[in-house]
Amino acid sequence: MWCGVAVLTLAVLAVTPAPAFAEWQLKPFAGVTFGGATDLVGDLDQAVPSVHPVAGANLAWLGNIFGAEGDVGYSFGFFEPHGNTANALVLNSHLTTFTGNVIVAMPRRLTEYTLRPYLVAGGGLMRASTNTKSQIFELANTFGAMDIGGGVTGFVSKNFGYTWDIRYFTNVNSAVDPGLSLVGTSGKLKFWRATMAMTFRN
Amino acid sequence: MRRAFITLTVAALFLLHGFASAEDLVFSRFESYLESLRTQTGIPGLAAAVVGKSDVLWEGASGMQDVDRSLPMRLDTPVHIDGLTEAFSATLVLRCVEEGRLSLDERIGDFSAEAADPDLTVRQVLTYVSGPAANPVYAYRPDRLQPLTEAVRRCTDHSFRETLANLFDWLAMVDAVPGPDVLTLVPPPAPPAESVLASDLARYAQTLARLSLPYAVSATKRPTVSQYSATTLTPTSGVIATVRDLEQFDIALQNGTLLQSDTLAAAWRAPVAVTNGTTNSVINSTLTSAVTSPKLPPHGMGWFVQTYKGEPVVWQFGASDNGSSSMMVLLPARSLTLILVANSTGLVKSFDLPNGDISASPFGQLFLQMFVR
Repeated sequence: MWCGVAVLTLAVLAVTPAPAFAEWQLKPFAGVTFGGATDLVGDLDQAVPSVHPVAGANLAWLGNIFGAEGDVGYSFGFFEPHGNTANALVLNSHLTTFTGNVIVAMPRRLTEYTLRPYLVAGGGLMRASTNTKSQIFELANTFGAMDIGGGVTGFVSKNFGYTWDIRYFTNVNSAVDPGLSLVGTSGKLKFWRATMAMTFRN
Repeated sequence: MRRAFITLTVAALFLLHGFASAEDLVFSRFESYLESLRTQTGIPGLAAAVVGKSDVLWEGASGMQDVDRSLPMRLDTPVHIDGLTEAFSATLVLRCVEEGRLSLDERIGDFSAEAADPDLTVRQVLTYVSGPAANPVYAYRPDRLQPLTEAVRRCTDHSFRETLANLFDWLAMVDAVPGPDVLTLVPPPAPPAESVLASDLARYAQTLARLSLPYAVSATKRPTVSQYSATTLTPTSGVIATVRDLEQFDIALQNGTLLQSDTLAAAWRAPVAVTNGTTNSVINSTLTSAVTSPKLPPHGMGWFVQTYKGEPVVWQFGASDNGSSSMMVLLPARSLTLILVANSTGLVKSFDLPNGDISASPFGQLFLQMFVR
């Protein structure tokens, strides 16, 4: 279902005729994930709550108030602990999110020379993957995902600016095989993502 | 000649060293995974062992038996083993059957007028089935086993509790206690020498004084002291024991000290009716190979039975409402047993084990994935 939301968002984004003041924004970003929690046994080193690097890109179409975007984020080492990792069970890992979101922003004319706040919400997919020392409790799961958040964008020139963004991600279909969750057959995975992006617009 | 001998000896030593190192690595990894699961489930204290056919291959304890006092969990820390009690009860019953003093086909109502389902047989209550023999219906009902106390008493001329105490003594289960209320019972009168309880009360008192604290663990993994559920001894709860005690029990079970091999084989099979009524032993009278039924009840006599990657797995678990959990998982084809005892319900909580799948517990899953490859 959430994958469908993402596809629908991107489709709307592609076919909607652009108003005269609509703009496209491309935002390559970097940042961190933090405040995570999970019921998945695969978090063997209990690293999900820690801070992890994340990078990705976001393509948005934004009208005067409403818009839509596609977002891809890749967090490397999402299930790996920091510091001395000699005893860590997870050898390498990553978490990837693909989401499509609806944007509600402050009207452009009100924020022509200031930061432009916006809210986003949407859904898509979340892919968790780990390799472990004895190949036990490895993750290779794709879940439906939902995200909600917001941020501000400020332009320093006609076509270039910066965006600061924070979002909350959670999986929505958390079903996993028996024995792979701490609470039965549901493996919730949720976390926050804070990023800073360079923003290019047409 | 001499050089060849030395070369061969050195090569053999290297090989042996290699095998030992590989085994050490497996158990080292197993310990790391186990500790990860303990931490993830918030279990305050966990003791564990992996037992072979005749000896203990690995054992370890981690966490705390008393969090506030920072008392570490130990291999000889006693805990309630709750449902694992049933494995002992079934052993007593099956020994009676082997001795010809009890039939598995006797009505349970013959032992107790208060039996909830008096027409069920001893075999049916042990295997948690009811209904027609050709189409048994499984329902996890530990309360149905209560009349087995009387069955054991009639067979042994001792109370169920005394018979169990005798078994503990025989197996050198030095910290095992037959029921948390054993100290409140009035020892039978003279002659004192005949009373197992009287002679062992002091030892039981010492063991109960060392009992691990039970803990309820919140969603945020914060432990708070709770209470053990079992208040007395029944066929399915009440035994207090350590991992070391359970090691003794397992070895005795595996090496044939407790039960004959065909008895054990029958106990470790799912119940399925034989239509022609042919019998080849007292134990096997209405049991046949598990492969004849597409949908088998998951419980043998005293033990759950299932397959994992085509290999038989025999297991039992124990859990109180909010303070302890335990687990024994046997791989008969490999003569390997996992024993776990914990002072919270983390080993089994949420995993619907009465449904008959030990791999639903991450702890069971770990053992199976690590040792059934």
